[in-house]
Amino acid sequence: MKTALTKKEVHALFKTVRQLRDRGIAIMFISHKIDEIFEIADDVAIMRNGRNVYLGATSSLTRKEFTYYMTGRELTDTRFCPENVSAEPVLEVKNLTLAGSSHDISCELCKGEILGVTGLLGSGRTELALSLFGLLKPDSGEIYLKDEKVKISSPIEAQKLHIGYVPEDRLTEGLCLRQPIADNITLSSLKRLSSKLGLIKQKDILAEADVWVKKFSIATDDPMKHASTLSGGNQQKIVLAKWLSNELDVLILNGPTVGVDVGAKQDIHELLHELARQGLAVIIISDDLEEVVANCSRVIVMKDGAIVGELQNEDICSQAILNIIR
Amino acid sequence: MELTRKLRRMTRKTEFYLFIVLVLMCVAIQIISGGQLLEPNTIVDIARSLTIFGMFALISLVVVISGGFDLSFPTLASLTYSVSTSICLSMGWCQETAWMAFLLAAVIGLVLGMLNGFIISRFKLNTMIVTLGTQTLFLGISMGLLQMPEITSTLPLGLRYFGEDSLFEVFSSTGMRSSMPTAFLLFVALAVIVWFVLRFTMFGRALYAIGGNEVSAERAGINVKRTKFWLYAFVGLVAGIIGMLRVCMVRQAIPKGLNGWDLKIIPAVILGGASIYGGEGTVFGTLVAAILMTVISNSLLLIGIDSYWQDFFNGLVILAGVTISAVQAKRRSI
Repeated sequence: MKTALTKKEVHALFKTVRQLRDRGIAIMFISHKIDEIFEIADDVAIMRNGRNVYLGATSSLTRKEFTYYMTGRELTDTRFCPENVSAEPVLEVKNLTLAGSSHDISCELCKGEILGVTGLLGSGRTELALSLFGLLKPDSGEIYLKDEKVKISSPIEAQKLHIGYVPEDRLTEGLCLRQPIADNITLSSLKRLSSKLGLIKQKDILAEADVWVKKFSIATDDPMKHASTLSGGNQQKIVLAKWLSNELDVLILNGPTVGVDVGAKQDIHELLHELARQGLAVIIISDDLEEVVANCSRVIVMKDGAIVGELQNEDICSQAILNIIR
Repeated sequence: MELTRKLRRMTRKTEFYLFIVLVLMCVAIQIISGGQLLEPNTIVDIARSLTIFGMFALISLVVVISGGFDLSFPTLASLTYSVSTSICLSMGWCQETAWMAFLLAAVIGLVLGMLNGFIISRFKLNTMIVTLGTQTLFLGISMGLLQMPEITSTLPLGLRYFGEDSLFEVFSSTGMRSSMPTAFLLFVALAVIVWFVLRFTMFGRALYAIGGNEVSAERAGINVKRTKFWLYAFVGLVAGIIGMLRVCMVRQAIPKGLNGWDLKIIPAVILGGASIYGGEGTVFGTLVAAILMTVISNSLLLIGIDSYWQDFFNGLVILAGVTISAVQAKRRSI
């Protein structure tokens, strides 16, 4: 599992792996990333639902067949086409500065848009997200929500302003792993689900959880099982469900499909498209260029704490983004 | 389908196996002691022992669920009841009824609990360390600063009457009398209240969330600071009342009277299925654990085992419980 390594380190690892193979050592490489498998593996055994569904050389396998075997479905890469983009921006950031990470950031976001924020590690993109959610205080600059100047001092404030944040690390920041799935899904909407006296009935919790389990096709037979029993992709789905359980104007996602299998990745992307079409303003922070290209109607590229470029619609492609970063 | 799912869920819980252990143990003791366990006298005596122990276990449960440990409740309670009783003595209150003493105990307990709550929520320190500190602080205030005396024969009559107040009495064949204290009703009431809060209120759910993953809970919009503050404040309030209750039942108010109770209660709560990491625990489990430990300590004599062996058996039971809890936790994480 190499989700935490950067490209350089991946290359170095692959070099070592090939050397070991040439020395006669048999290597079993376990991964769900298509690119890695096609790059490093001579043969591949694909497993799904506990069964071995394919066994053979990677050279005689196409990418489409690969995803089909892994997920049991035909997956098509649909690019996001924005509809119903509002004329007025719902979120405006003006000259936001966070000492040590970003300076003079200005951007705006309209309803119906999916804005991608990308850049290398350390470019300040996560810090930007955190300051929009009240986890970091900006040293200067202003944030406007629906034309009103706001001060987002804590996650509780951000929630009141209808901003949601799906964090980078769902395991430590997004979920209570030893709590039931249903409790995790309803954690942010307890007030809404409680009666006038402030009492909460278990069946209301389960009903709400069932709605989201069905809507997001979350693979579980019992929403009272612990969240730790779910795969990465399904866990990410319940973090999403937790936020969408509330009425949101802005949803920020930091690395939404890190450690998520190809099928759930597609599901999550489709969900985001649908949400944007319904009027949500979405910000995706990601360093997966494929993800950014396929899902964003606008991209801002950050480097060393400043915005160094912006791309729109058809101009968005991996090469263009890389050009800007360099 | 729904029923089988519920049954499957139930058998996965520690509380289920604990309950079976309790039943088996009772059967074993009943047989070995020649039928003495299920005699009315024994049951009433066990209920009497269970009252204070169970109430302390319940308030410790709420704290453990939130991921913390309150080690200060014994000295908090004893400082509270010492001060409260002394005030009643000097003011001449509680000659007939015990209300004033309990009211004072509630107020003082609340204030002391707020101190715990303030330090823990404001400074985000490890709860075990903080309450270890306040435990010593309260003891120091009680014995050093205020120099609280041992009140035995001068105990206000109202407290004595309440302690003797009983729901009913049972007589054994040998003429031995056991009375079911009215205080037992308070224990039942507390159990119901705690169960209700944990299951039906936002506060209860917030406790589980904070214990499960404090960071995630905070990100999800739970006001962790405020929840923790009020948690320790209320625990202090109830601890004060429980302490006062004990004074009535044992008819004395000794400053060191509850020393060491934290080491008895918290293992019982863990035995009852609460995780030391927080986020898990039920009233049912805690009650079963409390009953189990009370039955063991009360019935060792019935089967002819020296009371010196009590600690040994208590220790065995605790070890067993914690081990089962750990095994279950490991199984669930796979």
